[in-house]
Amino acid sequence: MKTVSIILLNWNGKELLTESLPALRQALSGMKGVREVIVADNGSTDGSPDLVRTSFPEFHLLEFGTNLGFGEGNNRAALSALGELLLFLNNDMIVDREFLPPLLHPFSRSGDVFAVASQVFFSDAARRREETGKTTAWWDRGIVRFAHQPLTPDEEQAESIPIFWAGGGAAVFDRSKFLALGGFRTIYSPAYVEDADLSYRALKRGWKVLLAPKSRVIHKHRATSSRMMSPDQLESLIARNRLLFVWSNLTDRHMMMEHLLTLPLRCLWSREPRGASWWRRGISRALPMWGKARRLAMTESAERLISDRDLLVRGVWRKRQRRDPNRLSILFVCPYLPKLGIHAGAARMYEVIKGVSRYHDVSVLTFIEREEEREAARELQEFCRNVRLVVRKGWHPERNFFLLKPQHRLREFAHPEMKRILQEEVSSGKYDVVQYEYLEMAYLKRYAGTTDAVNIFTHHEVQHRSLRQEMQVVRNGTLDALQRRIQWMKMLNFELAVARSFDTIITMTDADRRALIEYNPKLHVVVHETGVHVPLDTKELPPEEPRSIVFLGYFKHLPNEDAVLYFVGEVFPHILKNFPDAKFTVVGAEPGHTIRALHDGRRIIVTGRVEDVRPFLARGSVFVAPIRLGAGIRGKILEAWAVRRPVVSTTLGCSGIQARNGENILIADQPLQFAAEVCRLFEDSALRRQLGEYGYETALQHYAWPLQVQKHLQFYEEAVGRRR
Amino acid sequence: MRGIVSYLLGSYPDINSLKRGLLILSCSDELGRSVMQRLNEWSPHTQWHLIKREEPPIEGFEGRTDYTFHARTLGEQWSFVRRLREHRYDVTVVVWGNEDGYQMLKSLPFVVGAKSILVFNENIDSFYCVGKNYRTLWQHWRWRRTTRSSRSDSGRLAERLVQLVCAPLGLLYVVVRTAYLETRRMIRYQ
Repeated sequence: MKTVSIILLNWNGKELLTESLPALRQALSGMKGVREVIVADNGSTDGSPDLVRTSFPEFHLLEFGTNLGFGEGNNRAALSALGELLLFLNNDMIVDREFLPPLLHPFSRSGDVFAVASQVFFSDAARRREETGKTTAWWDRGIVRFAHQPLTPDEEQAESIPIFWAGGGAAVFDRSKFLALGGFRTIYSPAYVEDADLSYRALKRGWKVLLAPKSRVIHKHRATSSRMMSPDQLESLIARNRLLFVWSNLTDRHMMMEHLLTLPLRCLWSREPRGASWWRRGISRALPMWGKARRLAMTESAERLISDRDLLVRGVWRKRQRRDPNRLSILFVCPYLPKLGIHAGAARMYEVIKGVSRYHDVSVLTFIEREEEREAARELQEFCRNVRLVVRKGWHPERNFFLLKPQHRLREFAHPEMKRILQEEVSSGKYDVVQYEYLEMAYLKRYAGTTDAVNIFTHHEVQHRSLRQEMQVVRNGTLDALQRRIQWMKMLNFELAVARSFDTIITMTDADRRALIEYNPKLHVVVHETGVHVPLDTKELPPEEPRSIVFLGYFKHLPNEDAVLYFVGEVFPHILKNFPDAKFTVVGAEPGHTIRALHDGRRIIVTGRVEDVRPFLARGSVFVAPIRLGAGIRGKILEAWAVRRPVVSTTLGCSGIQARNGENILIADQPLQFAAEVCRLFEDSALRRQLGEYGYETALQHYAWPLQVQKHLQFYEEAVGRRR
Repeated sequence: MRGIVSYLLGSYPDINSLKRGLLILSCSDELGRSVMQRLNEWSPHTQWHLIKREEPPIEGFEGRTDYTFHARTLGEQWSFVRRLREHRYDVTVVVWGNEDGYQMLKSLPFVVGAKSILVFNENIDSFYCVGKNYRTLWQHWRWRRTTRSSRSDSGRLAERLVQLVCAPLGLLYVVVRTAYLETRRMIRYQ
């Protein structure tokens, strides 16, 4: 085990020392490997040195005679220390009895550990923990933001977790690395940000900075600095030091340019009530040090292994060692509960998650629509590592001054709780892949924070393609046509903007893929059709009812509503002429008033949401997909095939799937032709059986979930490989 | 405007004459259920038609329910309102609470042409929207301002004003950018 020197810096903190030193003495009793305790005094005039001499004679007192500030004081003490490790403590830190062993342990396991920090608590347990020790930082429009985050229950149990900086108030540093970096920089004098700067330089050299959650200290926050200056002075000092951090570390030209361009704006407007004035004062105090800071940045750049962008934008410092290098850690972010029997999208998510979880560690973050769905979510917990649920309640309009975002699609999903959990999960760094399902969730990626995880976007339906078709097919007057055109233009721009930030985009059909890359060839878009659960035995399902036609769809989706209205208005009357006893059953959740108005209980039956769609599909002698609008793939046809039912569809309805007219499907684009094909099937039971059997074979050979999951696994391999 | 004025100048209706009512659930489902319960106690003989933003339906309600989600464009919204106007309801009930996201539904009573408007707040207190009730209306307005959890009225107003200026610019940007994207696409694939 390496030896450690403990350095406690003090300035006029006699009162604080009477609390902190006895706790330290108690924690060190019987501890091996502690070389010395140095109380470094920054020229106190309150009798602190006398207190140390008389009450703590076993501690070594180092008097500087004058206040050197935090950085210089600690640097000088480090030079005189003899241990291989340096433990820096603030005079207002009350250590826990068992605080030291967890701090030292990571150094014995790995040679590239630079620092290990303690978890910090406040003496007042009721106070919000602004400081936890789990530190993070990210690039936010031209400036680095620093923050402490709460620890998750998993992290509380971990031996160590990666952090951005080890706070100088209670952390152990490798002495040789500390000296190689030149210690704390004195440009930050008297205090603040120098510990973040030191750790940042270490991270750039590829060294690790960790938090040992089991090492605990209590902090009397800002007890020293609050005696020296007012809150305003303190905040402007922090603003100055944040500027110096950027100037003395950043070597990325684009980031530096962004910083300089946004700097004047900071002086005019800030999120904090008095933030702009703090920045103004901070800039005026930092400007004279610009030259010195930039020289430091240039000197340090020769030693760096990791770029500013990797650290501050991609957050590579968060990366944890995987237990099994072949098992990826994947987070699925879903707008609906992945579940069978609601709609094709939810079923797809469920099957992919279930299949992938056999090979990788899968976690799910999903919305649920009602509290009752928590019960249904238990099924996911059987094969997922972690399932987090957010009840989708109310509307949460996003700021939309220019009305560029499709507000009607986002307001249900831009839930503050979802944003918070997403940020917490993704920025924890524990995921190799984050997969966003649907456009609404992909939009929320902007709130996920920085990560080096591979970001995948499953685009179930390319919306601008769908809106374009809607524009061409639905004609409701000039005003509506204009509104639809504007919606299409907005959606095109919005979709491309969202898609740009993803490493890989998965679409359901090749037409959808082309609809994206035609506008932006730089996008990496792959096609992964949806699958279907193909039962090996369909005998348990109810038998078909003669002359019964079935349609399946989720009616919040306009193409389904249009399909039913088109069928009832233009196709069904022709069928009724030949078969007056024909029955049309419309199955699916959320039918609107126009669909429900069709229900007469005799010829047309609208069921609404049903628990299991398969018995309804099986009862139909013909399944129809009279789709005229939309993009993506129609899972409904696969569902019908999976229960051996013959399908009549439009060309658009079966686009993107292995449909062969006359072999496993009948295709008809005109109302009369469509009706004729349905009638032909009513009359010809052999043809019905043949189409049903071939359809079933197609589903089994191409769309059974085990096959689709294998495809999905390949995407992960490729996407992670591309990132590496 | 004509609708608002006629309501303000109107008087309290006779409860026994309320045969057909339109209930606009411009609130969460929990609050909606409480309002329905109160209405059933208050006027059990009235036949209610329910307007809701989206599914799920209110459990136990056996009358007709329509969802506004399906009226997507201005044209569809207008035809939806026209259909409601044809029913000539005796009373429209609306919930004016402080839950976000129901603004359109909250103003719907003024355009459906019902004979009177009954307002509920989140405490299930109710009052008619008539001029005689100006004190109650004023108190309700003040109550809403003080209990609003999210953005303030002035914040909303400011946002709307900014949108008024910025939206045309946004539209111009979208048109120009779409033209650029389409042109590049055509050049690339010609």
